[in-house]
Amino acid sequence: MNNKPNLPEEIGFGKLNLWGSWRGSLNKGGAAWMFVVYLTDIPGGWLLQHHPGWPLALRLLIALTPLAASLLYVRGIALWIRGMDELHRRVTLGAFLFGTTLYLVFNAGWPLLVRSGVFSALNLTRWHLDQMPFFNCTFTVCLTYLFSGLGYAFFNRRYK
Amino acid sequence: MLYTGFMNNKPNIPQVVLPGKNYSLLADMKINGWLFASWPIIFLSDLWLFNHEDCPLMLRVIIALIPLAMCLLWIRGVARWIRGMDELHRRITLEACLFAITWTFFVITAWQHLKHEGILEAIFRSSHSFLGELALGFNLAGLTEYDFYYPLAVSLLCSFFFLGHTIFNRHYK
Amino acid sequence: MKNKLRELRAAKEWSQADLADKLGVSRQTINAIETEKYDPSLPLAFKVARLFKTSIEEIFELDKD
Repeated sequence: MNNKPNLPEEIGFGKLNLWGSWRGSLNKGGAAWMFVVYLTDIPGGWLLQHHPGWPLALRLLIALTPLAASLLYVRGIALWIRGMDELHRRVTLGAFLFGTTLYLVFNAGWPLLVRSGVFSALNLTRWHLDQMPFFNCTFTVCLTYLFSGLGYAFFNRRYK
Repeated sequence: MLYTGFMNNKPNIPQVVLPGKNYSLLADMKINGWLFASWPIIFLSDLWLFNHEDCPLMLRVIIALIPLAMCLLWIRGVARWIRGMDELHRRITLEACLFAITWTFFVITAWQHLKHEGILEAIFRSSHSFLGELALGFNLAGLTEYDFYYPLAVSLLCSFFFLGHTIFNRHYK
Repeated sequence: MKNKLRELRAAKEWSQADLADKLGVSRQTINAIETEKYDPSLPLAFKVARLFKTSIEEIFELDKD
C-alpha cells in the first residue's frame, strides 16, 4: 500500500481509544478477519445449540467457519508484522508470544482452580466463573488480544 | 554476562534437546527438569484433591496450583536457556517457540470448540467404525477436559516445537 | 547482505568452527553468514571487523535495492 513500515499502534496497541483504532484499521493486522470471527462464532454457536438435528456436514461447516477465520486472522497479523521495521517487529512478536503463552497458562491453570473448589467455596459459581468459555473463539481472541496488549506495553517500555 | 550457558562458556545449542546425534539427556534434564517433574506431580495433586475434599480451601488451592507453578518455572528455565544461545540459534528457537505456541493454542481451542458444539462426538458416532467406537469409549472427545489438558498441551507444544525447529532450521542450512 | 567473510577466514586458514569459537557463536551462524542466508547483528558485525582488524564496510556490503 505505501512505503512506510506498519506500526503496532494501527491496531490499538499502546492506545486507549481501542474502538477508534479498530474502526480505522480494518485492513491492517488482519483486524477484518477478527470481526469475521466474532460475527460467525456467536450466531454460529446459537444455531448449533438450537438446531442439533441439522446434517453433520452443515454443523461442521458452521463450527469450522470461525476457526478458519481465526487462521486467516493470524495470517493477516503475520503479514502485517512482516511489514514493520525491525524494532517494532521485535516488540510486537514479543507481545504476541507473551499473549499466547499467557493465554495457554491461563487456560491450563483455570481448570486447576476449579478442581480445587475455590469457586464453589467462595460462592462464585453464580457468576459461572467455574465455566470459563475457553471453547468460544470470541472469548479466546479477545483475551489473547488483551494479553498481547499487556505484553506490548511491557516490552515497548524498554525502548522508550 | 553475555552468555548464561549451563555448563561452559560456549553458547547453548538447541540440538541438545532435539532428537539427533547432539541430544544430551543431562542437558535435557537441566532445561526441562521442571516439566518432567510436573507430570507425576499433577497426577499426585489430582489424587490428593480427590481424597481430601474437606481440607482447608487455601491448602487445596496451593496443592492444585503446584503443577502450574512448576510449569512457570519451566518456562523461566527455557527462557534462560534461549538467552544463552548465539543470535542465529536464538532466532530459530524463538521462531519455533512461536510456531509451537500458536499451533498448540489453535489446536486446543479448535478441539474445545468442536467438542462443545457436539461435533466431535457426532463424528465419532457417525463413523460407524471400530475406531469411532473406540474414540467414544476412551472419551477422546474429552481430551481437553481437566484430566487430559495438561499432558495434551505439553505433548502438542513439544511436537510442534520439533516440527517448527526443523522447518526454520532448514532455512539457514 | 554480501560479505567477504569466507575469503578473510580462508586467508587466516581458520575453519568455520575456529572462527565460531573466536567470535563466541555457533558454527551454523558462521556458515549462514557466509552463505548470505543470515545477516549478523551489529555487535557481532563489530566483533568480526575487530577480529580481522578492518572496518565493517570492508567486510559487509549492503545489497543494492
